Amino acid sequence: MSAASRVPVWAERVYAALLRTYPASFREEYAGEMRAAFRSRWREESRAGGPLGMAHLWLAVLVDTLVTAARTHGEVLGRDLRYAARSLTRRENRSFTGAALLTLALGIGAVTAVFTIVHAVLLAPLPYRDPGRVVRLWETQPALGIDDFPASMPNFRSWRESARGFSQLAALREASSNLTDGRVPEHVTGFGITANLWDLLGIQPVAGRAFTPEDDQPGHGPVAMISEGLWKRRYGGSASVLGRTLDVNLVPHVIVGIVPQDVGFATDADLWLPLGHDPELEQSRGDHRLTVVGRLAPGVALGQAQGDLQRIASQLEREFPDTNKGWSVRVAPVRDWIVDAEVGQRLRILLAAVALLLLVAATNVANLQIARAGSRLREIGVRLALGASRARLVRQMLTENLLLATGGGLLGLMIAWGCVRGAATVLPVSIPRRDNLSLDLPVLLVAALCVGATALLAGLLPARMALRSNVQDALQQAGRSTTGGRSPARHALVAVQLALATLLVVCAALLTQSLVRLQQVALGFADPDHLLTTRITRSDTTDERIGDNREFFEALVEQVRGLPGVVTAGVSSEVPFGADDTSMTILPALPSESVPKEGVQASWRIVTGDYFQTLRVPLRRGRLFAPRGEPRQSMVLSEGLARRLWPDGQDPLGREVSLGNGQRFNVVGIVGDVRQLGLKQDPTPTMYMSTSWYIWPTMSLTVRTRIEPAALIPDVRAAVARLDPHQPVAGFQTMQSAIAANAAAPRLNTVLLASFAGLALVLAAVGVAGVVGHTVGQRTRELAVRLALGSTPGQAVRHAMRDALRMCAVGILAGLAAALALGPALASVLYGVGAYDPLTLLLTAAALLAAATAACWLPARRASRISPCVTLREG
Amino acid sequence: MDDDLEGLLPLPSATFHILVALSDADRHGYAIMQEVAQRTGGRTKLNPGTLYTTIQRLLDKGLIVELNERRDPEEDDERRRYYRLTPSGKRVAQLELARLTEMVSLGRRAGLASEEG
Repeated sequence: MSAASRVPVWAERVYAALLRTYPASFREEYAGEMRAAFRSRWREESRAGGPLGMAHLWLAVLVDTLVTAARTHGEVLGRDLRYAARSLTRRENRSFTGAALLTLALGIGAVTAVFTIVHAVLLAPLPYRDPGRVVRLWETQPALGIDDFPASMPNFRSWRESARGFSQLAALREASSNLTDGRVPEHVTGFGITANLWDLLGIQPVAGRAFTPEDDQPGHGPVAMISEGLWKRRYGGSASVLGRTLDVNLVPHVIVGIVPQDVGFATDADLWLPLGHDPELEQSRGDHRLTVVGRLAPGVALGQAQGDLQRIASQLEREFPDTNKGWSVRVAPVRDWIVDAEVGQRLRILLAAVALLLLVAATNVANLQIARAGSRLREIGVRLALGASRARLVRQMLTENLLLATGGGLLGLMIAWGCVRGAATVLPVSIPRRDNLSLDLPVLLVAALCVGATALLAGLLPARMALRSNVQDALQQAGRSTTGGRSPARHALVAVQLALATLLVVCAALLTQSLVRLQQVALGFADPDHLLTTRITRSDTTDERIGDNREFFEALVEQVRGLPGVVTAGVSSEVPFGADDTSMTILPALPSESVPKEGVQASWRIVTGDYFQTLRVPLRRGRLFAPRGEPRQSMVLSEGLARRLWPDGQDPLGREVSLGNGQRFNVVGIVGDVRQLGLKQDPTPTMYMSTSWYIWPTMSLTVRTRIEPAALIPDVRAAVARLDPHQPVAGFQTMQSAIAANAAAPRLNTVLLASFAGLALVLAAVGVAGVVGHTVGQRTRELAVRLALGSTPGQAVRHAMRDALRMCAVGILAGLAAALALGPALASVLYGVGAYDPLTLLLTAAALLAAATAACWLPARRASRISPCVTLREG
Repeated sequence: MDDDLEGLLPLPSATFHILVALSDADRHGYAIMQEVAQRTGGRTKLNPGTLYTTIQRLLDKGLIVELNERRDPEEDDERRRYYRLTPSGKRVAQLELARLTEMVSLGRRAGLASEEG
């Protein structure tokens, strides 16, 4: 053979590498032959073909190898799948298959359902162009503990002029209004926006045009954009709506464009107006009412933009110390504004919990598989003896688990689909973007990942265990009735399961206690079951009509109070558990050393005197507002606020206070503290002004009823119509439902977590019982010998339980340790109970130990019924 | 039995070539490649991947059997595995041949042969 015809080493190596793409079993059989054939062809081409022939050979070999390798893999998989399907559906395996499928379906379904919500709320991109560059800007006042305040118009203008870190800044404020043209007036949620908002966000109008800077100019004819929803609802989606007029609060506006319904931060907004020119807003730097969003300039990081703004804020502080002293700016991703931090944390905790549940489920299947592997030793031994390679058997076992996990995954997807369809109605309103739930590609990928991970988790350990023994052992052991008895891997799995279950049960116990405490908090007002509230927006919003509006609300209270079933009624600018808060700084007019000089930040409410009686907020000292003729400067304080203004115990009655806006008031009464913002938030220090001082065009009516409050809705509606037939009334809510909505998120979280924990506990208990039952079955001879040698049945039972119980204890301890380590992540969603509450930890551990003992004892009882005579004679 | 074997038709061309190459003698893998190339005047060259995955399938279906390894005196002194056609293999090749013949005559009856020819 000439040197030229010898195949070079590199060519051999390249071909050997190509051969690795074939399944191992095929390689073992044919790799040698194929290398020889390749060598022969190589020689042939090098003799006859020249360089072109060689290139052709390599190309042909490459394509041929890849195509046939893929096909061979497919064939092997198909064979394994058929084998696995036959094995799983065999009569003796059906209960195993059913249990494993159900377990995996629940685990994968729960993970998929929860991930769908997490994806829609926390991960899916917002409907903006390059959403990662959109940020929210807040004003902050660290000395008063304020870190998320709206901005004032003059400050917004200063930022817009001087900030270099943003390509654009835009502002908006709530402008819910009445649509008053012709038909029945309708109240809609709306916003006043700067003209550049849509361009900044990258939202295109569905039809028509966006606002232009000219629309904002004083004297420009009023224009409006309406939502896609309103467009379809009110105008049947007709294109001719553009250019038509729409009466907003009695003023005709020309409709210039249609806005998509989903703008990321508000899905219920139907009306968009230019922010326009409001002289009152323009003047005061201390009047914080604007939501400001920005788009970071190209190449500018969030931190840089923040530094830039802080520099401007310090400058403004020096220029306008009266209004800007102590105020700074915070910049955060826009999602932090849209998704409340607590909502995010709750969802993450829920996702972690379902992931743990899936882990318990996979561990359970692994445990079932190991138990099965014990009885399959003979089958495995025979196949090994017939020459099947170990790799081949591992592959086949993994295929079986993949088939199981895929089946579980498909069932799980069906469960998730059902959950997601129901979720939109069950999810609390505090979860934003909950209308966007869908089982889309990322969700399906996660489900597929769960399937793959579960198959590996549940399959690898049993497969490795089954193959560790050699052929002879396998065949010999399978013949005997005692196969070792002790199974360290299964015991370890039991420990893992109990650790995971313990962790989940601790979390569920802590959340349950929080929920119970949350529902026991003192509201500061009595009998919420008989309170009805509604928000009423007057169409005429001008200051000239303030007297008329006051008369309307006073007359309304009179009318409603006369209705049968009504005890009393009052009007206020906000109600407890309403959506919004208004707050300002307040100081005693006489400077005092015990009050910080920047004052106390307190909520303020405009109320009628009978508002307190309606809610039954107790009067502690002084008097409430008189129904008529109350002096404009009278003020009632909550007792918490009075304590903070006069910590030394002086009598606040008759004293003067001065507010952040420079106005002065006289304290005439002290009332009890009220939880204004929510169950979890401590009662806010609150000041109450009388409607004789000012009244908003939008006020809330609160009615105390003798009967079921919702039954009064038609009567209240009729009372409003008698006073003003064009006055829309929307948003009736009973106080009970407002409170329930406030606790909805914690309740849902607790219910879900408790179900996951319960499920995990049941799975773990089944796992434990399975292991102990198996142990007793395998060690019947040993136990019989012990009984024959004088052990009492009780001792035999204890002996059978011993190992498993020890592992349970280890698992429970590990679970407690994990709960302690994860405490900080849970702390932010707990109320009134610490993450390290020793009583909860101890009781949980005791309960789990009791459950584990029961799960061990039930199957172990069989040990006491073993008859030594029969067993030993038969053995 | 023919019913079972007919289920395998139509045969992929590589499969048919291999069966034909084994119809007159036992051959090893590379010899099959050479035989196919020779019979087709070099127009069909089997690559090792196609050859051995097809051989595996033919073995699985019992259409060929593997003989003991022995040396090929003509090629070199490497030991090679030889393959032999089984009666079933031969029958499948015959069935495929009949199928192809029928196709050819069908084409001829339609007058396609003269147009080409």
